[in-house]
Amino acid sequence: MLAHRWIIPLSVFCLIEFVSQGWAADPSTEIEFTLTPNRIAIDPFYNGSEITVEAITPVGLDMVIVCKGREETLELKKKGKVWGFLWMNVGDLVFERFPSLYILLSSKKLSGIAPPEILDKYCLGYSAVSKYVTCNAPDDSDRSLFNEVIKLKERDRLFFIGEEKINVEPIQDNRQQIKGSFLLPPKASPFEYEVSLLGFREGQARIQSTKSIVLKRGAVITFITSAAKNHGLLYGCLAVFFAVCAGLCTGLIFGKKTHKS
Amino acid sequence: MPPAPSHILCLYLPVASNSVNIFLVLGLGGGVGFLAGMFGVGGGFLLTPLMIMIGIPPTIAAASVSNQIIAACVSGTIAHARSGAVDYKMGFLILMGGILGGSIGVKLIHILRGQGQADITIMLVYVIMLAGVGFYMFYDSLTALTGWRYQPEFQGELECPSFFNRVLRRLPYKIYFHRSKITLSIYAPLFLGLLVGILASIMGIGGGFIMVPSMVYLLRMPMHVVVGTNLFQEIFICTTITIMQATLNHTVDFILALILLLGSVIGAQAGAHLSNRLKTDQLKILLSLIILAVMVEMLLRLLTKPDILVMYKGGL
Repeated sequence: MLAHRWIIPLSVFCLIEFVSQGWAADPSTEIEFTLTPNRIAIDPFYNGSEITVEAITPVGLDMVIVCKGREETLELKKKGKVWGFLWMNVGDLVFERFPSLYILLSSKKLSGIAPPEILDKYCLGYSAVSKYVTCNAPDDSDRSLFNEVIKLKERDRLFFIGEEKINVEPIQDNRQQIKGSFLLPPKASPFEYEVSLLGFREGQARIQSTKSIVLKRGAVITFITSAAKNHGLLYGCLAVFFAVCAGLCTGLIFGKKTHKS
Repeated sequence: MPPAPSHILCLYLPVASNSVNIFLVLGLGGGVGFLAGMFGVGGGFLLTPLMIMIGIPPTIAAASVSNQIIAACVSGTIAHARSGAVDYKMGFLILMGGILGGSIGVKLIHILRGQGQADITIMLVYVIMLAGVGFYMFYDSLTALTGWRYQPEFQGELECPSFFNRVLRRLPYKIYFHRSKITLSIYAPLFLGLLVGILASIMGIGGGFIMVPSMVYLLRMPMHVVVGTNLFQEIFICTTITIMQATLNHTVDFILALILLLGSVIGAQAGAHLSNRLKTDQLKILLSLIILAVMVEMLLRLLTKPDILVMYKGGL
């Protein structure tokens, strides 16, 4: 009899838990966010672009913004010692599926947002990226050079992790306003970059939305790039012609006769 | 938050796919152009590493710098030609040898690459050449300047000729070079051009910093004629390199070259004017110090552990 008294409340509790877990486990729950700007033309004065992500989300979510470039084959040379004292290039290294750009912003430390397996699932952080990337190195020691590649990419500002770089402000109705900005560096090649906004609570993804930034060459840059790639000989001759003209003009401008002392 | 990008001072380079500060590139071009006009070196051995340091991919830096050097050399040649300091006859002969040497060097590097020895060969040849030329030039100029050793201005004859000079005298087909005021076999400049052409193509540079000391010490040309003559022959070398790079590798960034040349042509004129005001040994000692500084930088790069243990293929 005592056991039967608990059946109904227990069933109701299980039902509620099941429904709530079912909702929570669904990471595809989307939320609207704004991405400014989302179309960028590379003009002659382009020097990268500051991208701002803004959204209103349920309060208490830990937020992550990720911007990823295309997965590409990255060919590198590794440095090592030759004859015990000279630092030289000692071999080739190729990484497959390496993102051309990876920028991550989070509202708090990644380790405090979700456990490693969840971070890996959503490819959040360099450790997660390393698990997606494949290396054709002859031995495992070469795989450890992944961190060196990250340093190389960070130097070019193509990789960046900014923890606690998302500004979160609570607003009315149990909601919060979030805002994060990052630099799309000038070295980023023209491409449709994917920007994802993820919200975590208790280590689980509760919301996930994706938008894209289209980065493409403007008319002037397209013309020069096309000429360099498709009409190399003409382009080269013109480059020489302009150089000779510039040299001649300067020679004439500075036309005063000089004497050896 | 990352700093907001400044669009005012920057120009986007379409081939390099990166943006650069206009004034920084103008300044670097002007500084190296000044050296080019002053010492008669193209400046590629200085400008290419500087471009790489500001984020230009190495292949694009080397190709674009060769385009810029054309302008600096034309401007510098005009300035030196006005004071009669260009030996065209000598320049053409060295150029002929240089073209042949360049072709041999390209084949040689192809063989070395096949054996996996290209990188170490290039670096070691570079350091040894820079050290040898730099130290000898420095010692020679210093002794002349301080009066430790009496060295009369060379007039075409040596009292105690070296083995090399004895060989030089015995070579056939001698002609008189009016501008340089020396009589030499045509084989001497051809052979020098060949030798420097091989080294220059192995090291991937125009070769001015080897050619200038070689003309002074091996051919015994007067320093002020050496400067103009080397600039003259480098015009043709860099024209060939630019057209080949643009056609085969598509690595010439015209915008980068344009900014560099704007700075360098002015710098080259200023350098040429100062070159005419300085004594030969003062010029030589300054050039030797620059050569030694580049050598020390390269040696340190070889001996110290790099910050990043990988690099993009084709880069530095």
